[in-house]
Amino acid sequence: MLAYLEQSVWRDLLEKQGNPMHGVQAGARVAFMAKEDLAGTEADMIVWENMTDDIGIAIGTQAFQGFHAGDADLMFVADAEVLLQICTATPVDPIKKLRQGIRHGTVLCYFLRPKRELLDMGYEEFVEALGLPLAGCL
Amino acid sequence: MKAAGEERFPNLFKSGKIGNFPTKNRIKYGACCVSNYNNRDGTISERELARVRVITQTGCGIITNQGAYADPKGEGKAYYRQIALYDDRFMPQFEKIAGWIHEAGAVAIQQILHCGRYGGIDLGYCMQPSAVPQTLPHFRPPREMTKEDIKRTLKEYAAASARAIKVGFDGVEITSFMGYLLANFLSKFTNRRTDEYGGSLENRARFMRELIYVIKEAIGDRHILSVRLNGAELMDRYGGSTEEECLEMMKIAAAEGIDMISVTVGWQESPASSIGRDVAPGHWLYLSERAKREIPDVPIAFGARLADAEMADRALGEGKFDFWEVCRPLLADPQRIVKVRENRLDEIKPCIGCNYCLSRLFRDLPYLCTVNGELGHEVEPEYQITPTALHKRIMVIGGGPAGMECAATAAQRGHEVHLYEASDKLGGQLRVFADKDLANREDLHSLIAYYQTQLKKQGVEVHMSTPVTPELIRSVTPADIDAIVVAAGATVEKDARITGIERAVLAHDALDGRVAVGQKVAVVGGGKVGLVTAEHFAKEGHEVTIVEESRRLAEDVIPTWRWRHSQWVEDLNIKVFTQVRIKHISDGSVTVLDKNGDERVILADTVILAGNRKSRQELFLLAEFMSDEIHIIGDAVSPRGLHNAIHDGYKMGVRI
Ligand SMILES: Cc1cc2nc3c(=O)[nH]c(=O)nc-3n(C[C@H](O)[C@H](O)[C@H](O)COP(=O)(O)O)c2cc1C
Repeated sequence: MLAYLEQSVWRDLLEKQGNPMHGVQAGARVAFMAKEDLAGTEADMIVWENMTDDIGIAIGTQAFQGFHAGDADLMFVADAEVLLQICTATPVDPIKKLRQGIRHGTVLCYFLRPKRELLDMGYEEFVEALGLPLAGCL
Repeated sequence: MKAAGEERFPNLFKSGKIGNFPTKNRIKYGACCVSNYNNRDGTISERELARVRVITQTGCGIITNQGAYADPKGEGKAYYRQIALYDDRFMPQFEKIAGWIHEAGAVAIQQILHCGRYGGIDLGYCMQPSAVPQTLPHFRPPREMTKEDIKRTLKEYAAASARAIKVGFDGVEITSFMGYLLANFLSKFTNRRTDEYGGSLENRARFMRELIYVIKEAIGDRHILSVRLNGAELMDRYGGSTEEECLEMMKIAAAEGIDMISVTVGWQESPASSIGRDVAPGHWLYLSERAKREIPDVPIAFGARLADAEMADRALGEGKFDFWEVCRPLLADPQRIVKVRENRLDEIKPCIGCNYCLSRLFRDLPYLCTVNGELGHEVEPEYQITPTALHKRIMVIGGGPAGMECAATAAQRGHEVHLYEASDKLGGQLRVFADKDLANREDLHSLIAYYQTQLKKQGVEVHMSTPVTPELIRSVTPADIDAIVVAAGATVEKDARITGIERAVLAHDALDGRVAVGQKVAVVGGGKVGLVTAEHFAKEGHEVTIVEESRRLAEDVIPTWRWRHSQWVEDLNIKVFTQVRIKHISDGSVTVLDKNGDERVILADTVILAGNRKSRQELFLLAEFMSDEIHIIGDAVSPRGLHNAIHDGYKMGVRI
């Protein structure tokens, strides 16, 4: 199993970090998956599911069944190495790491739901924190 | 006799040829195109037709009409009010447009546009070679095209192309700019097919080759087929095609016997700038130069972020492209080419590359242009500059963009205009930003220079270093002035509730060098004034912290530019505190309260106030009974953006 798929690593991270999905509705899910896995036939991904404010994020592992299987709202794809760095780096700041990764092309953020749904689910701030240009970098 | 500009720019104004069609010059109106002015059912609106009339008068040798989708379902449709050509019933309006283009002596090209990954705006899904989700939020979930879908799409393209020719267009164009369907097939990022349409470069190009083939069959040899291809996708960081692969794609297209390659740059999703203000004019010229060198036998059109006639003429002379393809600069000033021809370059209203036009399209709104208040209103007489019925003497108070635009426009209509500016420089806030902006400063400076020329040419009497006081107004009204326009802008106000506020300085004073700024700087306000201020001082080596009351930065910045500021903030190591309120400023620090009411101390030698902008309305209120007519425009109404200021100025200028 790839090291980034260890749920405990992500749990440690989120314990130190607080809830990066704060403000997003309960039940919202973002997934993390290794690029090398995406090319294969079977793969697992790490899923953050936002619970209530007191509980924070629940970490789970789930089989990838296609982008639009409805398992996640956003999906981050990167080399397993990069994902591991994101969840183990100090100082702890996964959103910053994701933002930098997206900017430099080492992390891809796929949007699996239409914008309106994401807005209704309260994703606006989360997406903006990823530094994503709303209308591309034109 | 040759016009002065024809002498000065011989390459731009020499005749050319595309396919079998001679062109009167080397300038192509780039498909600037999807305006969102049309009807929801794909028919062309009166608003658009009036706009197209203006386009046909631009003086370009080739005019490309905006991209029409070709399928009845609307899978190819990306824009809310995009035009359609999937049925014969659309043809009469296209016939009109082709006729107008010909009347103007230009070659008429119709773009057929399937937006692929960005399409399906009314459907809730989009079609792509492979189901690769988008990396930006505002699109529809993708479906992988079956071979049947591909066949159908090819047929629809061919049928729409045939319709365009039938109504009189000389040719058609297909495009991969911005990441549309053609680009999706060509790119490794979006084409992950394992059949004959995916994989190798040759396979990824198959859809394009088939498209070229079916369109050529449909339009016949006599007509033109132009293909827009990215010289750089700027998606390579995400696993897209490299510039070398893009060039190979162009060679493949050329081998199919097309009549023109238009070299473009970037996708909507590109994680790097393609045509924004932070890209230096002419930056992408190397892409067309390389295409020209490697594909010498096919005419190359190019012009992305290259608005300068001088640069274009030189590049043409040096054989870096064959046709100068212009888009946004002709939104900013549709008379640009006419003015170039008459060598009146200083009268050209510059495109500042702000992408306000595109930022509106992405919100499903009609496009507008920051500097051109008439754009989109061509059909409305109220927006035209017409001679005034009643000659008036007008006092415009404030020499910022709103005041200058209003003064120049009103004077053009025959009014006698006096412009009063309190400082010794024109430009208002725009000038302060232009001086410190981290993007291409020349864009904003050229706009101020344009206004200076216009004020002179239109005979506006400019009173510099003349603050307007009630006494001054009284001395000239009612005898000498019929109307007053207050365009006094806005100012950052000191909030008296903050203790120690007298220690703070105002952003404009700091940026203009009127006050000394220490090493550690706290900038209060994370809107555009605060951001420009913070970025400037951080770039100069100061340690900068931004303190912002609301939840995020750049709330007042247009969507296509927000990301730019966040990257600068990150690159320049500017610290940011949001949702905090200033409580106290002391020597060397500022105390803030966070949203929980907890105090935080930020070290700062200088505190610069850049938020809390207040309109300057005193004169408007005061002069109510001093003049027959009084108006207020720009930031003086409410602090907003550059486009609001210019549009307010224009609207007042055309009606006063
Ligand atoms: C509002 C707008 C709409 C556009 N629509 C299209 C289009 O439908 N098809 C296309 O190929 N390019 C389109 N473009 C791209 C332009 O043709 C051009 O390549 C790009 O703006 C860069 O050139 P410029 O710096 O002269 O504006 C559009 C550009 C703008 C600003």
